[in-house]
Amino acid sequence: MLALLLLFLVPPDARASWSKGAREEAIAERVKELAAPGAPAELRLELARWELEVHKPAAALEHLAPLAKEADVLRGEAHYALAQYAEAVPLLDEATTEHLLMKIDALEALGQLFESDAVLLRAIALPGPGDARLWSAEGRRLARNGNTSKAVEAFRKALALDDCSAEAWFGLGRALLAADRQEEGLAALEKHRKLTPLLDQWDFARRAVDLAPLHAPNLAALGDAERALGRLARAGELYARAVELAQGAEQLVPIVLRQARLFAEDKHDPAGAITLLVKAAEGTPDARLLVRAGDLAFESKDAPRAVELFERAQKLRPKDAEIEKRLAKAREAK
Amino acid sequence: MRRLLLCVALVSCGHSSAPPPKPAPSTGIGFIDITAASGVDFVHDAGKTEEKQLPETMGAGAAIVDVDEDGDLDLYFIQSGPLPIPGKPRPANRPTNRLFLNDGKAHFRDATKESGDAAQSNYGMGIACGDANGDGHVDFYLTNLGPDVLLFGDGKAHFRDVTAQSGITGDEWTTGAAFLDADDDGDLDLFVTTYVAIDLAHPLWCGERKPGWRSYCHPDAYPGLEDHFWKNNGDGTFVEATKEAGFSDPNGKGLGVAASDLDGDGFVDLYVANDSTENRFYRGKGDGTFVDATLLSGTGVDRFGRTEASMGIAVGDVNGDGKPDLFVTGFDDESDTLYMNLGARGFEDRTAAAGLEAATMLPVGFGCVLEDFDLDGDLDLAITNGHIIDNIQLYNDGKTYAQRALLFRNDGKGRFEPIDGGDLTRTPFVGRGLYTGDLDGDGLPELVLTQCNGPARIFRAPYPGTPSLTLRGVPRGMRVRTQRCDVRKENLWTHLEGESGPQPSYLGQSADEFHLAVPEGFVYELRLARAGKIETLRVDPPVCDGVLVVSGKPGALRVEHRAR
Repeated sequence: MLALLLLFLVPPDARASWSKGAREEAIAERVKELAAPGAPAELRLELARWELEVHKPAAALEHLAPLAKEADVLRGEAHYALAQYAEAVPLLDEATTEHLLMKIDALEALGQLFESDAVLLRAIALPGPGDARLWSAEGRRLARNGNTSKAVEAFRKALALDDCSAEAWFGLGRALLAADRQEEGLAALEKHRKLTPLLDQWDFARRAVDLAPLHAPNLAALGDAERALGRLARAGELYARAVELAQGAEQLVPIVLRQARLFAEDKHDPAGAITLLVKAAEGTPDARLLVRAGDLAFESKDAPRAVELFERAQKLRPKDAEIEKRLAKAREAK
Repeated sequence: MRRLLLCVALVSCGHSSAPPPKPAPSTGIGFIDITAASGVDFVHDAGKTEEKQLPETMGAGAAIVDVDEDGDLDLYFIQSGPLPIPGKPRPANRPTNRLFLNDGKAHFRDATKESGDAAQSNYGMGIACGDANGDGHVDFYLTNLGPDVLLFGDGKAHFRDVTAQSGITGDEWTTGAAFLDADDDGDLDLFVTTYVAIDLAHPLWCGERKPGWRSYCHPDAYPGLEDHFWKNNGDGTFVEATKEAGFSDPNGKGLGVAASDLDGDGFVDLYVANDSTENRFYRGKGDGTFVDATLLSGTGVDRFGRTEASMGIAVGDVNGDGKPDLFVTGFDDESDTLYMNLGARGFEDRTAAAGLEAATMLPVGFGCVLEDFDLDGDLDLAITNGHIIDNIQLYNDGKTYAQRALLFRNDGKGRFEPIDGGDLTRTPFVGRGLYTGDLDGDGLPELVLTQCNGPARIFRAPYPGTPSLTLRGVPRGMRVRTQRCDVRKENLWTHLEGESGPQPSYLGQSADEFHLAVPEGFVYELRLARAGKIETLRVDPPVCDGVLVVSGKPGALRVEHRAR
């Protein structure tokens, strides 16, 4: 009884480990915690969620085994991750978009297109702004049934919700071709073709973050991918988080340089970029940061500020020919 | 009437006119592992290193081909061995590619030593076979991590390295290759896929930095490379014509390649399976030039608009509508993909509707073949699987390095059902290549499976009792129809068999032959068509069993029947 009380009162070590990114340790600690008699079901559910997050669906199923129906949705997710679709379908609820999408996908993978379509139609009918993935699935359903004009509409709805949806661009292009609108169809497919490598880059970066979520270069790479897709706010958030997590100048400097590029080139805010670079250079004296800040000042026609920044950079890297060249040019403009 | 009379005369086929019942849907095909009895003891050596270099995960291929022209199918396996790391000499005693000669009953002897230059010891990847110099004997094109090799065969299982004189140059990492007559001039041109640019001297680190956790890098970590098209000068020398022919995919990461008239216009097309970049569909114009028709064809990505890690390719008409469909294997967490041919409307990803999605979602698919394993008249599907990451279980507890192969039975309408394949599907392999050919001459094809860093396997299926014909020697790229007659029903009908030419699978090729189930009636005529020209070859007397050997050049082809 005391052990159970302690589990509630004292924050479990496992949770602390998890939140600081030590995911394997967290899982091991939680497994130990669960060995205590009467461990609450919530801890077991949390463990399963962690295990699903680190791609251990088989372990999640094992740890959920003692639980009753309250674990069904997580069981459904685990079976889905293991491509055990027949087992997943009856367990997945339809309360969230993610589970709806899993259920639709699982039924489709099983070749049960009629059942998949029925779930999709229920999902589409739900009130709310909708989800691009659901509208793309609806577009595919309509196209499969030969209703190309309605399919075009559905894909356009998906794109209104997410204009980086490869599925929607591809589906739109195919539907337009099927409707004998070749020029428009090829234009949509060209758009899809241009978008695809960027989404692949994003997916690659996302998988790296998935593997090591607190590794700053991984977050910055995902920021790069978001930036390439034009999702600047998300890119900014990721760079900022990467800066927080960066360990040492070798990690920090390249990230700050990319963050500054986002400000200068995408947000057209060179002053903001300079502030960022200078602030970073205060904590991590590195000539590269100040040179970039100087370049931005010079490009903004603020030669005195550029001179000041290049001089600071020169102190950190004396006799550097590139810095000398820049400094001379800025002094001349001053 | 004469045909009918001949059919009546052929009661010696010894079967009733009624076709045998189709096997019950859930019945498996009990493939038996005959590797030990076959005498084939090839073991692939991937040259594994602690650095986990990507090439270690890829190989290797094999070919099923008659190299000594004795009428049976021989085996040639590609070896890899120690990596060719710049500045680090490869050991002199490294393993070689190996040639095994068949006695006609699927018993093989190692003939590597007397095969001349076929005993290559490069870091091998794949192979394409064809008569490159037009001397009537099969030649080999070998893809490597490093310079490729062209070998001329003499028809006596002996090969000569002619790379230096061939005009073929380059030292990129090549993978798949296909011989095809792209300009319809009677000689075989060559298309070679290249994979990625890699610096073996400075390997990347991928995966977690913990002991035992280092992993192989995803191909996204390396830049792709342009594939190559080599035009044959007519004598087995080649000139590069990649750009002139209309090919362009500078970022592609090519693995599989299939040469086939996919759009039915009479000219050979090319389909390239790219690993994690968009696949390419090049429509042949018949004059040696091609148009990138990927977007119109709908075969570049899956139905979700996603690029896939495409590896192997199988081509065949799975739903009996007369049009060749495309099957492409892919990575885990993405299914293999069946592109159904809709004719003028291009192709459509019908993987789920065909029943192929769920079973192929988790494994990493490599080799694949469409073949009528149960001789019921439609194309079944076999896939070999195996992960590339040998410690994948650390990263995902639902995945394994060695994986079971998959076998699917076709219902004749392009709907597949996973079935038990005996030894083929019960043991996990680190599968890469999968090829078919009738090694024992019984009319039913065997399967040859290659593994990455492991022994090759050979599987024999139990003969279902259906009469069948093996058709060999049809010039590449011809569409084959058989004309059949039925004695009891006194009617005639046509059966489309498909297009001649070896199936590529992954990094190799199957035997260049058809297996025609003849559950009822007899074949009395072959109709061979290419580029609008049709040749009719009379099979006289009509037959329902044995081997039909086509010989000669297009325009003067002839057919001969041989008993098994």
